[in-house]
Amino acid sequence: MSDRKAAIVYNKKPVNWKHVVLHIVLLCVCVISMFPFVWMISSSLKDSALIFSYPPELIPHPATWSNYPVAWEETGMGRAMINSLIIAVTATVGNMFVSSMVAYGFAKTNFKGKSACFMIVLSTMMIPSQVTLIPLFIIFRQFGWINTYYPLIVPSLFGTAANVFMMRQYMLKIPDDFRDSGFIDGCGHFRIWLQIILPMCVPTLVSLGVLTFMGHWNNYMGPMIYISSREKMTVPLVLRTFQGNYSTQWNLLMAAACIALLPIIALYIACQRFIISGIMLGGIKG
Amino acid sequence: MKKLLTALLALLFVLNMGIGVAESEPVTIKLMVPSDHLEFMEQLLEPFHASQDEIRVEVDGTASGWDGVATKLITMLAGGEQIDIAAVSTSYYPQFAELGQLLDITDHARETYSEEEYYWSVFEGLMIDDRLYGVPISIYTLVNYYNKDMYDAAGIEYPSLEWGEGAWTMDEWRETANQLTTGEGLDRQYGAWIDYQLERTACFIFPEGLDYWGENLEPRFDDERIREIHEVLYEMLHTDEVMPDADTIDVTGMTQLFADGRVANAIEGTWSHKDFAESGHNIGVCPTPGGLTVGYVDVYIPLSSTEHPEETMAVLDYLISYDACVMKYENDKLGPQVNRKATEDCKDKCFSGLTPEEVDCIFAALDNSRPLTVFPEWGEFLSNSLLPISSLMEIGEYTVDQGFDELQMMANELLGF
Repeated sequence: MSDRKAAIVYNKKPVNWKHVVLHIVLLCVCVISMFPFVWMISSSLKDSALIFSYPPELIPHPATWSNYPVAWEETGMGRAMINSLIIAVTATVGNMFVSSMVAYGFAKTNFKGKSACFMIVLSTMMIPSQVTLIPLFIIFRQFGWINTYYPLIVPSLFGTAANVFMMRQYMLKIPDDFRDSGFIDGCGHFRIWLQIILPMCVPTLVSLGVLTFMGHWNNYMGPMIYISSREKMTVPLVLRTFQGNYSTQWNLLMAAACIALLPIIALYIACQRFIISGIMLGGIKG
Repeated sequence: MKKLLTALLALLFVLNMGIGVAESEPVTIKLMVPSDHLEFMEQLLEPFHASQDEIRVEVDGTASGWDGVATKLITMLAGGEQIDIAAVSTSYYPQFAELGQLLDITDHARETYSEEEYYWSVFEGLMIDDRLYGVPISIYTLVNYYNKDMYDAAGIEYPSLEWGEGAWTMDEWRETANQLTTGEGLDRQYGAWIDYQLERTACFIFPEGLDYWGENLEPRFDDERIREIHEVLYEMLHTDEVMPDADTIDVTGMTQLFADGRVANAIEGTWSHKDFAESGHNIGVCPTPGGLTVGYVDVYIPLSSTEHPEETMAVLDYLISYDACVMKYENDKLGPQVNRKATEDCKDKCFSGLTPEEVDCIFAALDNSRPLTVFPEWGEFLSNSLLPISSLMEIGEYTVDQGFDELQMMANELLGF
């Protein structure tokens, strides 16, 4: 008996109150962050009369599961998800490819005016999208691209300043010896970028890819301006059809929003281990 | 050589046929509507497409809300993109007209829309310098929705259904609100409500022949009587607390408060009728105090850049035709229509939950309403000045005098007075 007692005393670690407080704070932040999401799911299962009922019900009774099929069928959500996937995947893959290539140029090559060029690239981040809306519209109209996906995809294929910046920061951390050994083995810049540097950038590439994908998936303004036919509508446009000038079908909107979130959640879960490390590493200059 | 010549002739013949086919293709008219109108608009156009082969209407319903449509329309027009008709709110209509971007349809309207078939007073409300640039989508008015059960429980008589001088006064409305207000805190029942936005509260100043704008659009926010009226509303909101405050409205929503039996009278647009009708209460409708209310007309505007003005007009004609208006009434989504005959024939199909006399009362509002005074800068003034300052008064951050002083200053600056 005394041995058992001794073992219990031996195994009992002193309580680290700092950790306890930290976990309580984190738990509170987590609950606050999760609440809108939980509320969205809850609202998606209510009928229109229950949405604003007082006192509010977090767990709806009875749950109106029919909101989901109604939201799916009424708006052609399936088609919109396919449209959004085409745009988001194409633009993201192209953007990652080009951004990393440009970043390699800024991080691993030396040429006259490199700093000036980099500043110019960065300065494009300062221009609000509203300013370029009409000029871009005129250009795309000249190309005959209105009511096509090209205006939503092609600009991304030239890379984006934010992604170039993040990739460059990460590449600066990679010792130049890797590049030099590539030269010794007879590789050119393209091969060094593709076969040596790029595989080392996977965490940043994936995390930026997820963020870029989310940006395209949630983009409302672009499709609203350039798309005009129902069969080409994307997810954000479809979600807005539940919002009228004078009233909103909140329950259906929330059900549709839950459906629209699924690809993002799936992507986030699949790439979770890369996301934080990628962003953190990209922010540290070696 | 002969074979080559024959082949060439045959080719020319085929090409010519191709051109012939292209020429007989229907004209496409592009119509932009808010996204929540898209589905119904497609249904509405089905009979039009079935009735003829010359015109096809392509509906663009990707922009959400009036602001979305205006943003997209401005971008498309600036970019030179062809658009023939767009649905816009009253706020944006004068702005597009002033910029010369709308087709003048005055002569066509006078020839085509007879006074027997249409409510011409509505068209006249849309005239800018005696010229017409659009046709109404639907006509909404502010009316007083009330909970009959709450009136019965308090033993109060229902308000009169008469507009004009027979309508109840603002004092009577306030007194009734006081009588119907009970309880405290979360259990409080409110006797009345109107959105403390000056475009809504105009329904209290119109009956006295007042307006926020005088001759030549001179701002009248310094008018003493206008301020007095708003002081009364301010007291009802902040001192008497017979109206729910902005936080309560934001959290719960007016129609839900009404459905919960916590608001007895709500001055609201007929666009919310369905919500009131489905509140689960025995509802009633009566005129706004003073008997002269605010009318809102959303508009289909034909763009002057259209390459097909005749076909554009044909589509507009259809959109306010008897058949189309009947379909709109059957859909029960839009308010009263400009087509007189369709309106008379469909009275029993719309405004569910009301007695025939109350339905008549809503339609009588068409003759007892006046539109807000709007001008090209109206949209800008509404978004940047009127609504934000109204909100500051609504939450009690500004007094009436502070709010109206600032509005007067901003309006003077904007309009150059």
